Amino acid sequence: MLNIIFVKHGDKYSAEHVNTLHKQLLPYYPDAMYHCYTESPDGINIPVIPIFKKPSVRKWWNKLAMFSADMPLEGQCLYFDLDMKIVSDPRRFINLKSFKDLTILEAYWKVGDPKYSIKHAYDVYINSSVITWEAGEQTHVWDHFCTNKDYFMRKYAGIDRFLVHENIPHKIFPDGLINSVGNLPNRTAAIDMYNGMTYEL
Amino acid sequence: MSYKENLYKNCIKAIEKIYTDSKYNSEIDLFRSFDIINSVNANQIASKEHLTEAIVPVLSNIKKLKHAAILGSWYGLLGVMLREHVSDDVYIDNVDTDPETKTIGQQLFRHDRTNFFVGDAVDHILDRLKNYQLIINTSCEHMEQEDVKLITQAKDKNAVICFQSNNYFSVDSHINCSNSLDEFVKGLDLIEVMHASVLEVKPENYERYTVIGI
Repeated sequence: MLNIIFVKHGDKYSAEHVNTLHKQLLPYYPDAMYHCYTESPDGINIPVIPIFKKPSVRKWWNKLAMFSADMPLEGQCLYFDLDMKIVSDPRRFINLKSFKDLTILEAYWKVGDPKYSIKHAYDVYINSSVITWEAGEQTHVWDHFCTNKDYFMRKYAGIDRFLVHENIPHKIFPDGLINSVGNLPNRTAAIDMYNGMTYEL
Repeated sequence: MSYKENLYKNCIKAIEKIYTDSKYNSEIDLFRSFDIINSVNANQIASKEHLTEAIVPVLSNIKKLKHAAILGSWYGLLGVMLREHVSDDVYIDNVDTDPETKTIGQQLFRHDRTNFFVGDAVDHILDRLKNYQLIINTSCEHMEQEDVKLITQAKDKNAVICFQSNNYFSVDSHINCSNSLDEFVKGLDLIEVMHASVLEVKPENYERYTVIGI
């Protein structure tokens, strides 16, 4: 069973972002179970998982809740950020045999730039806009976050930095899955990603 | 030396230790230095002084004050200020979920009856309901509202609470801000409100709310 999950918290993205991404992925994953983890289900055309009332977190930190043992998912899990446009078949880059590991994108636009490896800046060369994992196998991510979440949210600007600097084991997707539209050089990829930009449909 | 001078001196020593240790151990968390600095910055000092000024007139009304709890105490700044106004035989218990708050808190200030507990604030209070005559929570914006109310309702009926919150919605960990002092007061649902005030915080432009009552 393949689960495809979106997380929508707050009002940065609309129900239409969820529905559009769902439509774009359907031709490639027609048999997947689609879910949206959100506190505002209005207008969303796929099944909704209500955001946990406790512990309550805000913004992108809700992505970590996907790894919780309380998340009602079974089988393989594939997550997409909502600021993504599916351009061509992403399946070439997402190996359904390797969901055993936590797999994340490489932020290719940062690779080679030494400023991202300054230790106490806690920056990273990964990007969590696409993630794969097996349900129930990454519960340590959420559990660890919950041990000291306020401190982690002060220390790290986002979940990518948390994953790397808290030494969460992970692998990287093959190159070519995403093109980060806001970063040069532009490249041909299966998904255009609008990270750091306003993504209007 | 004033308590503030002593506190800053100890903060500098704690930061020096972090840096020195980091020269021989690559796992040392350098962010802690920055966190210590932020815990005693001008806004934190102003906020805790505002609370202390509000609570001092009430202290004499608290019958047989023996134990005070400070929830979400961070490295214990408020406890240091409160110690200046209570007798030495009063226990001040600092409670925080971050294990390092105990280690660092004890470096910043030592007193025989100032303690640091690591754990969930609600669990701590529920396990010791009758212990505290004074319960202070400077971090209501970090706690679920149901937990804030659980503390106010489960405490000993004569225990005085002194709670703070704010309308600083832009901080990631602020999951329970209030839009106004009035909203914060209503949410606490107290039998008697002894004090309610607003402190304007610049340059971040937000309000800190302080409420004391039963």
